[in-house]
Amino acid sequence: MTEKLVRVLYVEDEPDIQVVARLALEMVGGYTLEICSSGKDALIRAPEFKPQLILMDVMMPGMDGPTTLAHLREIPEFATTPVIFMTAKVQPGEVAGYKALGALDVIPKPFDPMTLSGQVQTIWERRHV
Amino acid sequence: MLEPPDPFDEADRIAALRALAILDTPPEERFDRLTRLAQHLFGVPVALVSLIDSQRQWFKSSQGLEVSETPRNISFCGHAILDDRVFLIPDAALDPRFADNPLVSGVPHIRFYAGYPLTLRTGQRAGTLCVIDYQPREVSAEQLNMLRDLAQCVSEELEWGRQLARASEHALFQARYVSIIASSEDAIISKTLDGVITTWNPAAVALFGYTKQEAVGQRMAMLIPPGRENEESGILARILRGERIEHFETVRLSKGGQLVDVSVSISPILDEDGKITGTSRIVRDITGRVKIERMKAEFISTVSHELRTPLTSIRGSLGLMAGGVAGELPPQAKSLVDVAYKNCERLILLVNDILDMEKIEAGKMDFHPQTIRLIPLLKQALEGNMAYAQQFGVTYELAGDLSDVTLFLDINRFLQVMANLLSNAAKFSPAGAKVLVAVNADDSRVRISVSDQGCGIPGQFRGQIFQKFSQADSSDTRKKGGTGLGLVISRAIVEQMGGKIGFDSKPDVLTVFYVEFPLWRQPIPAGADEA
Repeated sequence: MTEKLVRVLYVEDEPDIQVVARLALEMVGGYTLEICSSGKDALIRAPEFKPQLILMDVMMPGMDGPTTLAHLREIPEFATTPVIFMTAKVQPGEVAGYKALGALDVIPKPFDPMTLSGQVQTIWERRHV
Repeated sequence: MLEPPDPFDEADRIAALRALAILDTPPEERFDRLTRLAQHLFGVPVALVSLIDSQRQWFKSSQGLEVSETPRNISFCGHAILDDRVFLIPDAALDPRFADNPLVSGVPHIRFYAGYPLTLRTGQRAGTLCVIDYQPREVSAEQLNMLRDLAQCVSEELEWGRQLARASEHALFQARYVSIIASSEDAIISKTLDGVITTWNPAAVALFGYTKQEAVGQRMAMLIPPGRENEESGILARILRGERIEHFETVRLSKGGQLVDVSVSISPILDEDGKITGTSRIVRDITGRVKIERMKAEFISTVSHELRTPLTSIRGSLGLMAGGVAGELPPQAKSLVDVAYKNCERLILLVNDILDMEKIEAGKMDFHPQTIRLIPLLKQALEGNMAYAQQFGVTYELAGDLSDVTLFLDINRFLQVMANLLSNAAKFSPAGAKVLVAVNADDSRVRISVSDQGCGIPGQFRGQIFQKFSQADSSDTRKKGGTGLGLVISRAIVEQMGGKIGFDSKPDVLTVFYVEFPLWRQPIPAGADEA
């Protein structure tokens, strides 16, 4: 059996989406959620929060998702932490590109808030298969 | 009078004469000076270059005669071309062949005739150089020899004229090509098999920045950017195999070091024996087009992102409220939230449709087909669209339970097509109506049809129904919703999956839209139904 998913770090620059995601993941999904507004913020706070899974927006000002992921991988603790990209920028070829960067999967935006935690859970449980 | 008989090679002779392209052309000094010489040499009033056509003799050059042609059957020259020796009549009045010839017995009363045939290189005799007098004459052998020499000069002039005409035709032809190449907007370049540039037109100068002097004699390799060195050898191998290369899109290097997007068409240059000695290529600058394509893709991607970001917040907020996550809503607030949520969903569909359309046009729509039992999938489609149909007071009914029918499809794309057909049927149906979904199969194909009793497809609109942004009544866009892209997208999807889409409509009676797919033959393992 896979370990139970509790601690989720969400990196998202858009405050409105943060609000929606917090309700969707905490209230609906029951996860313990930490939200960071930038890639830099995530790199600073991740070691302390110790997430089991990271959800990450792709297009962010400053450091974008793929760059943040690359830096995160340099930290030994997070060398293998599963990362799911959440992006509105899903064009042909891009999903494969994100997976090639080491993302576990991609959840397209706009996501359905009532089923988001279910999607995350499914991806989490599938990861060892 | 004896009419001149046809020579044995008359048909060939006429063909050779016509090929000279000289009949009925204006007089030319190069012939006239020879007839003048002949006239003086014999001291006669008349000297002619006479060409024997099928029914007439026509004078290319004539001294002392007003007419330009006379009938062949009364001609002296018609006799003269029967032999390659001189044809000599010292006194026609005494010659039984000519005594009663109208030209002898009447005006102009010809008495003396001496004519040498004009023999062409191919052997046929085109006509004569002849001298004529109105009184009997004796001539010396020396004079006849000179007449023969002059006749040979005339023959050469005849042949020379043909060569000249060919040369000028060739020059004209060449000049035309040179001007086409010079004024072409596409670069036209040729090179040897060793890769040495041999021609370079003005468009090539404009495209690559090298002048003709700088380019000709140089190697083609100077135009190839690093990393593409192998392209040329691949191209050459294909050309040597006899292939033509058309619209090969690649990148080339200009003199200034800039990369240029180009489309290249290449054909072999053959020598007289058909051996390939080099290649010629037409190079089109597609930098502009490539840039526009890139911009378009970027624009679509950006718009998609910019629209989806606010939509994510709106849909998320409304979805959580409608789902009761933020607490129970009073009934009126709940119905308003439902309206907002529904319209937000519609907006997302529109963005998705536009993106799908773009993917279809760019040929980039992804498909992940798998084997799937049709009936459970159809039930899923009906359930998914039931709520939508209820808005119009319409219900769906599935007829025919072919539960063992298996197809090889991309499930999500199939559901997308069904959603389009089911929602169309519902929104164009009268309230309280039933939309019937039927499945029929034969040995190789299965047809899924969706029938409604709605207003149908008006005759004049039938040809456009699968075109972008088409709705029969443009006011429908507001009344009925939809993007006008649904059927276009459906058709593209169905065809990509090897199927067919069509319709049959009797307005207000029965309108049937159907899709057909090939049956999947291999059995699917038990339990794989609910994929």
